[in-house]
Order: sequence, then C-alpha cells, then structure tokens
Amino acid sequence: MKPAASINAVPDQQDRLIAWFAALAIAIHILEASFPSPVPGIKPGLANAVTLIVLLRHGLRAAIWVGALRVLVGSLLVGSLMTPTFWLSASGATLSILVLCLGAAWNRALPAARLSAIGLSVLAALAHMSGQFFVAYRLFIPHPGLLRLLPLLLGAALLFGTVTGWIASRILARLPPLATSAVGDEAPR
Amino acid sequence: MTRADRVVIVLAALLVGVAAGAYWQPRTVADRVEVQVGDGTPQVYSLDTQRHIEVHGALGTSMLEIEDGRIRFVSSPCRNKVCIHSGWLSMSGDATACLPNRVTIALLGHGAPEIDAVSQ
Repeated sequence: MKPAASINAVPDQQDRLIAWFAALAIAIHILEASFPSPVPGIKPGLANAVTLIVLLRHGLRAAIWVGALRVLVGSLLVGSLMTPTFWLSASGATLSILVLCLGAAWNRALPAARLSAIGLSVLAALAHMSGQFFVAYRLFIPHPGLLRLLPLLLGAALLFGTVTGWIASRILARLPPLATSAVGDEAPR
Repeated sequence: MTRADRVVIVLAALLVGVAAGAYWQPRTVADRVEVQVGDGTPQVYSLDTQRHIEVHGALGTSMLEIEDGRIRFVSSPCRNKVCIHSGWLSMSGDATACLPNRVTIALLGHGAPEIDAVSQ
C-alpha cells in the first residue's frame, strides 16, 4: 500500500486531460500574440475554441482550469504577466468563463433550447470584450474617446466569436465520442 | 447551429447596432488634439503648428509629433508599440493610447461639441 502523500501527488486522468488541453490553448495563445492587430483589443481568440471544446466534452470544471491556466501561463510566456495587457486579458477571461458557466446552466435547465458551441462562443466573446473594455475604461484610460471604439470592438467580438464557435463545433463533430469512463462533472469517477 | 444560437447572434448584432448608434459619429477633420496622462487634466494643442511634444507617463517619456494637421506617436517606452503603429491621426474622433504609459491622445474637430457630450 502506498503512503497517502504519494497518492495525492499522482496526477489523475482529469489532471492529464486539463494539462494537455491547457498546453494546446497556450500554444495557440502565443501564436496569436505574435501577430500584430490593427486595433488594440481585437484578436481572433482561437484559443477559446479549446476552452469551448473542453466545456462541451469534459464539463465546466475542466474548462475553468484550462481557461485560467491559459491566461496565466500564456501571459507568463508572452511576458505580459502583471502588465495592463494581462489584467485586460484576465478580466475578459474571468467574465467569459462566468458567462460560459451561465450558458452551461442554461443548457442543463433547458435542453430543448440548448446553445451549441457557436452560441456559447458568441456569448463568451462578447463577455470577454465587455470585461476587458470595462477594465480598460475604468482603470487605465477613463477617457470618453475610448467609447468610440466600442461598436468596432463589439462587432469584432461577434465576428470572431462566431468563427471560433464554428471552428469548435466542426472539431467537436470530428472528435470520436467519449468512452463511458469519460471524466467530467457529471460522469461517475 | 441551434435555434438558441441564432437568437444569440441576432441579439448580439442588435447590441453592436445599439453601440454604433450611441457612440459612432461622422468624421470631420480635426484641428486640435487632447493629450491626457492617466486620469490627469487633459492638455489641448493645436494641430496647426508643427512641433514635438514630450509627455511624461507612467513608464517614461512618450514623444508626439504634430505636422500638417496630424499627429503621431514617435516613440514610447512600451513593449508592443501599439501607439506608434497607429500612425498619423488627423480626423476628429481619432484616438489612440499608449496603454502601458497611460498616455491617451484624442483629436477634436472644428467647433465640435465637447466629447463629454457624447454619452447618451
């Protein structure tokens, strides 16, 4: 029989899953960070496709882990940790994960009117943009001129949110169905 | 795509439309620029006179250049240089910022109302 400490230190199946998906999301995050953007605050957010796929296949808990790890480790590697960029990214990610929680609750409560990856992605993208815009406006540049960017930023969030959701739904359709021993919030362990 | 997805997309498009209606304004040629550091008092400069402006922000000095009725960031002590990549600005309502250095510039139009009056 193993001592208790070493049992705690062994990563279980869900830990490996989270690490694997987080690594994928971080790689996409870094690739995207290397492309310049015409307007600050706009980027495709393809890494969110990973969060969405994890949410829809493995449940909320794993999705929150993957999303949080991506923002933290991604910004650590890009070098923006604790800079304004990081706080914008973190506030956007927090709000979009909260919205994904609501979306997951909605889908549980009303399976007849369920949101697919596309609807969830649009909601998450708008939440992300609103969150980072609010922080930018309140904390960093409380200037009314910033509000002029809002329609453009929200329009971009809608566009990229739809595209990311579509990509996520195509990937989900191609992935093999999960085995019955799948890890997830509702699945028995 | 489910029906709920379509509802979400339509509502999101409405939101973008409402934001555009509330905050979009027709563009006119600017004649002044408002330079602000953090939430400090904005300084207004005319775009008529060619000059360089040193702005002391949170990280260091940002250099602005005014020439031919337009303005740009020449240098700034930030990492991404988003402000410099914005290039020359000349239209009323154009704005850019060096977020790390907390420097914002916004162009004001001829006889245009104060931007404060934009809020609905």
